[in-house]
Amino acid sequence: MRKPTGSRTDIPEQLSFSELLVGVSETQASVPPEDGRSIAVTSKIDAPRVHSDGHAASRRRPHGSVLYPHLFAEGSGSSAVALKLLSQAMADADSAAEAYSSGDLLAVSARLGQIAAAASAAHAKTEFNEALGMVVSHIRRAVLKADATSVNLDQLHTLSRTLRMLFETPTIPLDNAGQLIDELDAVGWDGDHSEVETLVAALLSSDANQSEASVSPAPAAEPQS
Amino acid sequence: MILDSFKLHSLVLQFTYPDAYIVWDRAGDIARHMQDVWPGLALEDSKPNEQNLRSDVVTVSTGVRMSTITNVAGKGLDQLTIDRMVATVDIWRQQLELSTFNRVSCRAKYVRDFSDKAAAIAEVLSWNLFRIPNDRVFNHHQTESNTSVEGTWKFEDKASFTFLRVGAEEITIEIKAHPDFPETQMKKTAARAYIDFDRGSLGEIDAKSFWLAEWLKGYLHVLHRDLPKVIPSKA
Repeated sequence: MRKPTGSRTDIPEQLSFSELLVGVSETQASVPPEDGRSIAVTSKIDAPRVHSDGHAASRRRPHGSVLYPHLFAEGSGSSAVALKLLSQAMADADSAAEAYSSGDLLAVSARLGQIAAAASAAHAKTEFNEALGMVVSHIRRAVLKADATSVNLDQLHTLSRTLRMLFETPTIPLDNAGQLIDELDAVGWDGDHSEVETLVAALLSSDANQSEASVSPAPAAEPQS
Repeated sequence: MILDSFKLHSLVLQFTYPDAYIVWDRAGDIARHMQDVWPGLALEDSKPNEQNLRSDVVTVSTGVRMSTITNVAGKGLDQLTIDRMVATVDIWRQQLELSTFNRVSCRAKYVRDFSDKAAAIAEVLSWNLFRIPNDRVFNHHQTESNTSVEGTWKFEDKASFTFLRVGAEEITIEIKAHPDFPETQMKKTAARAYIDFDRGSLGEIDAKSFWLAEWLKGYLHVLHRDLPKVIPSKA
C-alpha cells in the first residue's frame, strides 16, 4: 500500500512517485548582490505538500455547508428548504434579542411568531435527520407557548445559539439534540405542554392546506424531549 | 456531462485524526469487525503504525494517525459499498475512540478505455484544455510513444481542498510465467483517458456528528456541479 503524500488522497496504483509530488513549496534565500545589498529570492520547487492539519486556522470546525453542500444547495430538496427556514429563524431570534434590549416587546412578539412559523414549516422538511427535527419541533412548541412579556434575554440568546448550531450542524446526532433540548428547557423554553399539543395539532391541520408545509407532513408520533 | 462516458475505476476514502495509540490495544478486534463488514478480507501486512486488510475489491488500512478504505475493481459507489464504508468508519470511530477527524478526503478516479494511447491523448486534447504543438517541441514529436498529456488543478482554502487531474495514460501489465506453467505468461496493455478528483474537508470535524453517506453525496454533488466548469461538455 502506497503511503500518503501531502494532502492528496492516496490512490495506490499506477502513480509514480513524481506524479504524487505535485505540491509546490517556496524556498527563500538571501542573495547578496554585487553592491552589497541583500535581496530575497523566492523560488518554487516541487515538493510533497505539507498537511494542513497542523494549521491553527484549519482547526476551526467546518460549517455544515462545507461538509454537506448538497443539503444547502438551493433547489436540491427539502433539506435546503429546512435550512433556509432555520437561517431565517436564526435572524429572527437575533432581531428579537435586539428588540428586547430596546424594550420593544411588540417586535419581540412578532419575531417569536415568525420563528414559530419558520420552525413549523422547517420541521416538515427535516426528515433527513430526525434528531434535527426533534429540536426544531421542541422550538416550535416552546415558542408557540411563549409570551413576549415573560421571555428574557437569556432565553432569546439561547434560542439564537441553538438555531445557529442546528443550521451549522444539520447532521446533529440524537444525543447532542437531547442536550440542546435540555439547554432550551433549562432557560425556560419548555416544549412539553398539553395545551401546546392542541395548538400544534391545529397548526398542523392548517399547515396541511398550505403547499409549502404540506409536501412532507410531520410524523404522527413526534419524538418528545 | 463528460463523466457519463467514463467509469469509476477506483475510490479512496481517507481519514486523519489525532494520534490514536489505542489501535495497538485493539488491532485484533478491529480486524475481526472489518472482516464482518467486508467479506473475504484477510491480513495483507501489519506494521506497528498500521494494519492492512485486503480482499479482491477493497483494502482497509487502519493506522495510528490515518485510516483508509481503497476500493478497486468494485461496483463503485453502489449502496452496499456505501453501507460498508459507513460501517467501517463506525468501527474506527468506536474502536479508536475518535472524537474528531482532522481531515476527511476522497479520491475518485474515472477512466475511459481507448484502443491505443494516441486515441486517449486525442480525447483529452479534444477538451481544449491543453495543446501539443504539431511540430517538434523540446526535441520531441507528439507521435513519439512516450509522449502524453496530463494536467492538474489545485484549489484550496482553510475548509477544503480539491485536486483535479486529467490525462491520458498507458498501463502495461506483464506476468512472467513460472517454468512449470509457461502458458501463464501474459502481457497486456491498456490505454485510457482519466479524470481524477481528489477532494477533502479540513478542520476539526466532529466525528460523532459526521455522516459519511451524506458527506459522499456532497462530494459527488460538488464534482457533478463543477466539473463542467473545467471540462465543458462537447456540443
